[in-house]
Amino acid sequence: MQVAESTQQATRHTRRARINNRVVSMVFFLCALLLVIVIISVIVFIASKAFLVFSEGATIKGFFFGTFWDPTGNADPTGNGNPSYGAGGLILGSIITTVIAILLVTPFAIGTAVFFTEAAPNWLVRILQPLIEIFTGIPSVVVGFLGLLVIVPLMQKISAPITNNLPTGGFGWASAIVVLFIMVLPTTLSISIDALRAVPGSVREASLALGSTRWQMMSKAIIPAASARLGTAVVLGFTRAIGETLAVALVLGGSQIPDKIFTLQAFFQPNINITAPIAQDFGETSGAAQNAYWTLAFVLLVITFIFVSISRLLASRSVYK
Amino acid sequence: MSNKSRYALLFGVALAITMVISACGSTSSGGGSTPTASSSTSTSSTLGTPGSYNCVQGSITASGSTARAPLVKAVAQQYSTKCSGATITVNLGGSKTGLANVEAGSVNIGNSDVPAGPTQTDLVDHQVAVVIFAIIVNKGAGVTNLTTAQLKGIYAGTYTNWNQVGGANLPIVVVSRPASSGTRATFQKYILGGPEKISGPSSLTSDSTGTVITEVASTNGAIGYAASGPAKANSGVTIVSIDGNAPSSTNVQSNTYKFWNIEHMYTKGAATGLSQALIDYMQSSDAKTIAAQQDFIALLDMQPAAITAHNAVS
Repeated sequence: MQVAESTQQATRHTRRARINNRVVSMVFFLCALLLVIVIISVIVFIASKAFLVFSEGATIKGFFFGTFWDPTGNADPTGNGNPSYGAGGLILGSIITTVIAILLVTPFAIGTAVFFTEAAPNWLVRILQPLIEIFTGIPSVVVGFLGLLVIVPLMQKISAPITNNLPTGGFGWASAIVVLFIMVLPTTLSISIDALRAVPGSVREASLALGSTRWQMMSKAIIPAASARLGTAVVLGFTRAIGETLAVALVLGGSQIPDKIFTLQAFFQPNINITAPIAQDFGETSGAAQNAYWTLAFVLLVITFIFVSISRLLASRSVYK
Repeated sequence: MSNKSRYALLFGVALAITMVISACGSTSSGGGSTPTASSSTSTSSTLGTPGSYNCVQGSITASGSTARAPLVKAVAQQYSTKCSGATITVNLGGSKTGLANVEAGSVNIGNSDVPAGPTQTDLVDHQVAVVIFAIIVNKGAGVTNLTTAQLKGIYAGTYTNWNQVGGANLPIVVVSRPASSGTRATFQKYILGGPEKISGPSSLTSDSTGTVITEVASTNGAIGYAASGPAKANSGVTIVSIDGNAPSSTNVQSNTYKFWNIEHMYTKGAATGLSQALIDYMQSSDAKTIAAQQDFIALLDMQPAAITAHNAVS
């Protein structure tokens, strides 16, 4: 009798526990599903509007290789108001500024992260880590105004010998790269530090036990072990950089791509990228012109997707899975 | 309760609280739901006369032009202090957004610097004020007056140094607005008579009036155009007369100074109740004082010949 009652109680307990488990896992599954639905809906919505511009006078070749961007037709030099949909210059601007900024940020961030985790004294880490996290949260418009009022005049003086003292030499891709560096470095640095901290201590000990120096341990054992997560850091830095709008729009200062793109001077004169026209013109446009901006947004998504795929491919060749 | 179900309960409660807060909070933002333009007592019969003040109770929302938002907000606040029971909310969003909102019925009044599009036929136009624009130059340029021909030359790239137009020996840097800007459209229509043709390394494009003024103040030899209210407030730029006429109220009222534009307040169908009362009040003497402080002119103060001549420019 006693045994049967306690077995009944035990069964009731486990049944309740099982139901709880199922309810909770259902709730979390619904949350994940909601997230996936939101992301897919956003992509589908933008894609649905992205192809409308091609039925309104833009050609694919003209869109991706043309260099005069004027979907409203207000800047038509002939005065007829004919729109031009040449986004090649915009795409080039975004890619150049983002890639160069990431190339500059990545060694900086990984090097600093290695210093933090391996060689820095504890008190320094305790002071600097919260500072970095605060720095991650700086609004981009603040950095943009900093760029406009501090970096642009400085860049103008630095570039004076290259550009023959051009008064607008402070604007352009070079200042945009500096601004992107400031925006992206804290994010990449924080994630890199977490990535390196997540490497188990056994990796370090094994490497040191086999006789490697500290530098050999860092470069040949820890960084390859953390490469998947470091890849994530770089990817997040890239996505933040390519989507950076306000900070970059204030220091770019142009509306079209310059005539001579493949010279050093192109970096030191008013220039353009994808996000600056979206920020400036999108709210004022309607109809066919607005569709052109949806296409730009879709191009931005596609570039990000391509880069994320490439990075995932490279990072998946990690030694330690 | 097991840990997992406790977390699930907390999560559910947090979600419920978030939804309740967002539902309660949305009533104060004033957009998206049909507004109640309820007017209870409309005593005076001068409703519909520009410049009159009638106290109508109720609540309305306006949205649109950022250039005129400070003026509308200040006048609306003045109105609410005089007429308790009237609530006026002014949102931003830009001229085109204001037009789209009033067309969709989500706001009562749409403020716009540009006329409504040809497809927006059920919008009724109320012209209430005039906004003055000014040409500003960097202090190093050394000019205080430019002729229209010189401005056309500068914005076509013909003149590249200030000493060609009577200024210092300094290269000219041209600051424009983006092609979709209403200010640029006004500049092209009334001063240049055609599109801007400048391009190249010495030309900058800035997003807003404020950024134009900042860039002209800090770039040597820069010239740009902006609303004259903010331009006068910034001491780092010089305001230039066009053809010898300064951007003063008297010059604008007689159309000797031509760089100005009419501000519109659109309503869907005829304006009624509090909307009409606010539109009338925008031209009352209280509103004129506020407008003068912010460098707008009430439409009633304009000479009719000036307006006809202005509208005749194609």
